Amino acid sequence: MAEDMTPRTIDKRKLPELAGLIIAAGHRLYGPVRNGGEVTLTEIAEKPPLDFAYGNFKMSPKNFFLPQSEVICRFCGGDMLKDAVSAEEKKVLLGIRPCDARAVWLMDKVFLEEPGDFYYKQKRDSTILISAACLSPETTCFCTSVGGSPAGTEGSDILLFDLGKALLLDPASPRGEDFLNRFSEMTSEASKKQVSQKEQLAQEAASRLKKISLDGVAEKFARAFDSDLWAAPSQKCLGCGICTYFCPTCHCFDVTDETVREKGRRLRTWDSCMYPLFTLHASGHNPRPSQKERVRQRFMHKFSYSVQNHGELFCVGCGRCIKNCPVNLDLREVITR
Amino acid sequence: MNGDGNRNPYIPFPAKIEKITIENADRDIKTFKLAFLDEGHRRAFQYLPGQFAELSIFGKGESPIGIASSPTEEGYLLFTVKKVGVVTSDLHNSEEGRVIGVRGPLGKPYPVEAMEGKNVVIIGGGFAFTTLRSTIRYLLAPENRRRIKNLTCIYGARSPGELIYKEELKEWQGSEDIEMYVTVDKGDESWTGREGFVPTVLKEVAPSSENAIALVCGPPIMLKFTFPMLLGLGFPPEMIVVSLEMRMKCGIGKCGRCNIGNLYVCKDGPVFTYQQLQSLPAEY
Repeated sequence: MAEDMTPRTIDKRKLPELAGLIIAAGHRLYGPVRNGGEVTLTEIAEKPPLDFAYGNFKMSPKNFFLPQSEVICRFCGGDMLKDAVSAEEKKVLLGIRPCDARAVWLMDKVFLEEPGDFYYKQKRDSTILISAACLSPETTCFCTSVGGSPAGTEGSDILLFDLGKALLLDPASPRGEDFLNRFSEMTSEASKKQVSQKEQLAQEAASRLKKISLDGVAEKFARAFDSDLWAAPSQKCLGCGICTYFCPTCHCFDVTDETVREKGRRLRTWDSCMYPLFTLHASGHNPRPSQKERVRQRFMHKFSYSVQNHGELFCVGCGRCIKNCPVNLDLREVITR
Repeated sequence: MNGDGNRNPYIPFPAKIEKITIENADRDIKTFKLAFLDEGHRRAFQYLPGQFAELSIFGKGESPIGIASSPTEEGYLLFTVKKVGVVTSDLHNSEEGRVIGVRGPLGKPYPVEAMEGKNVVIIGGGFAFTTLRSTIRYLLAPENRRRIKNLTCIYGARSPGELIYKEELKEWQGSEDIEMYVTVDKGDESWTGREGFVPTVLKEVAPSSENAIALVCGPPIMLKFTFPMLLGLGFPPEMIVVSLEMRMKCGIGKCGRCNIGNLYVCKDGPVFTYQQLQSLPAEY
């Protein structure tokens, strides 16, 4: 298993060369690049100016596995065209945070369970996740309260630690171990000192995170379905759905057809439980007629239904919904109420 | 879905509309008889009463529709569709011979094994009678009929013209294998049958709950008054089985919109026991 392999290190100055080799091996490489004031996960062509001084990317990497919009099939008139799905390109995502890798691990539970989701699985199988341990969490972060940690490995193939002059690469899956072996000439075995430095950094990061108490939240929410718990957040909520778009685990989608004359395509696109049309029946009946039911659904799904169905909270504590909500609705206040 | 792990569950199978039957006086409910173009697809589509499929029209979209035929009727599928939205309207404008897509079978069927050796009571209202028609056809097949005891059905519609499957209703009313009660909310001059709401007729007929299972499908208002009536007749909640509907897209528990509590109507239902419903939030 992965634990057997000793972590590797690489001098940061050798990173562009490693990136070049990864690209030459046929992977599309995405890494942290500063664009203006912001570090984003950007495709790297060659000699990347990688920048590891960031909290987290504004957008989660959800788009790599469940694109905002993707083609299910193409058609002409009443006939489906056979060229529908092209093979996925191999990708490497370098520098996503462990919370976002954990979110992919959570989405796996939905999309890889039978019957497996063809499109998701293709992308998942062809993408290597190299997470960067989150050594300076932000004030909106609360991963340790929802089952994760700044150096958690769920979903990751390799976990990377920024040790200053060098990066430590710790394999987190057999696939990650295999990947590191392929590029072993670029790296060297980590020293004992580096390994203990890594552990210290992880502990320090975890200790900086404020823990909120979520014991029994699934049961509490299940009991609170008809309570007035939902009144305050839903009165404030505009129903804009931005929380669901930024959320790395929100995965609801719509399926629609688009045509120009008789040629067209069937698409799946991100959808949101915050919208009234989401559940509107053709008959006009809507089981979630007001924002109260819709806000409740989002919280129940993440903090109660998912625990019942998959044994995990479907929140990774990345804090994006808190940062991006236009009316400052703080999810932490609702789940601890 | 059928256990073929490599199949892409989002891709429909092509099927030809062989026959279209107008079912009601308002002419907005039609039954489509479909046959798969591909023999392999036909064989792969193994279903039981209560399951549904996504009917697919490229350029319009998909609609989840209960399968109205019984697996004992081989070689074709029946779907009874009310004209309501974009897909169903387009489907209604079809001519025989058109090829559409079918994706399924989806969802859990009525518990046919639990009916073994039991009296079966079927209660339907409006055009939701479709998967119950499948169940009746299935149970009336000789090899299945001898496995259950009494078969009773109460079916009602708003008016005589809105009753669907009129020919079969007549056939069943004359059959000894099924005790058939047909009712309408309000009759017209030519109507000589029963008048009254389904729950009221259920009270009059008062089928015994002894060694019995009840299957219910109908509009929410009918369900609301039928459940207490069945409980009053002594049916235990786990022996009341109901089929629900919900807006759906994927049909396989991924797209996240058709849940009631932690269960998805598409994959955990659409068939639920009343006992299950009692433990779920009333959000349907």
